[in-house]
Amino acid sequence: MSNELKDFLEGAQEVPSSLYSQTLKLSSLTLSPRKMLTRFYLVNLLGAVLTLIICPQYGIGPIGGELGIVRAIMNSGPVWCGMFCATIFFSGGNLMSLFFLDKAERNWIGRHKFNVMVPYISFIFMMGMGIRNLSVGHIHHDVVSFYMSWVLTGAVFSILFYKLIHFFSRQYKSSFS
Amino acid sequence: MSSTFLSDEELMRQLQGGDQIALEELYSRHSKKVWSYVSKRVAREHAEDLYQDCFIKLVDRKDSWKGQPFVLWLYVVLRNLLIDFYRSQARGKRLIDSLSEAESNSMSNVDFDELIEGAPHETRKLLNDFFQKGFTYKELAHEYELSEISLRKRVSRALAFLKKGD
Repeated sequence: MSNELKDFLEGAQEVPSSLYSQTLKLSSLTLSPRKMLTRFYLVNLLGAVLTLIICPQYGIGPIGGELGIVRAIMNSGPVWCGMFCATIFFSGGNLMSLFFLDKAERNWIGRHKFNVMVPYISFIFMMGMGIRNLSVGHIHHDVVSFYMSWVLTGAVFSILFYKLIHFFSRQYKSSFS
Repeated sequence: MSSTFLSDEELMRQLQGGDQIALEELYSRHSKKVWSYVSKRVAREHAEDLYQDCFIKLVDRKDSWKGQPFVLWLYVVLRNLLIDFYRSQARGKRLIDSLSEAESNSMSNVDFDELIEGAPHETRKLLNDFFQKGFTYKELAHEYELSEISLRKRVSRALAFLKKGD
């Protein structure tokens, strides 16, 4: 038997308790992620929809709406408008989801960010395309460049968001020590 | 039957059917082995990632298990992860090497001697061999009669010593 294998078989070093429980939870989520993912998507969608309050199209108050401050961004063109919209939309959703997920669940989403976020963003996009004609008022940027910048920003932003979460949780990790 | 009395292979078959209890039992049986193995071979932060990756892979690849002795299968999964990790580190090392080569051209011997002044004799010799004489890890491992991994660790420790001395 090789020394490496022998070393593996004889290993008996105690696993740090926090790492032990986190890993068990991660493995369990990998086995059956459906419940957690449903919660994640619902919370994410709720947080995202709440951000529409500052949207120049649907929002209200001094920031959103027809006369709001963000109107200036809408006037700067469809690409900027799409990028701004997607950033705010997915910031709201992802930030809200942080409060409803525990560390292991966030870690799991961070590890599967592409597989988790791309179907979600695609769904939101298709839904948005479907209901866009039902919206109140006039949609100013009903052009391809707006939709392309929106969907690309959404994907890139969401993936970067979880990369950052992962980075900061490693930099300031306290639970494993 | 309680999962405690089942063999690893029986538990693995249950895990393939999506049994959470089987996963917990396998995890509790083998977590120490995996942790001991990785924590001896890589730095703590990477060891934690590899440890987690190993059990996530165990679940992800459960359907590729075809009845072979479970513990050996787990060992192969872990070893492959470790090899991938070393490969990714080696890519980083090549990049660092090319950068440090450019930097070393602008660094005189006097600067280097000043930098390592105060370090223990062994550390000075190792750093000198590595940075000034340009020996590779492999060559140094041979000269110092160490494995390449131990040698890499020794160089990391020597660099950490210099950092502390700043």
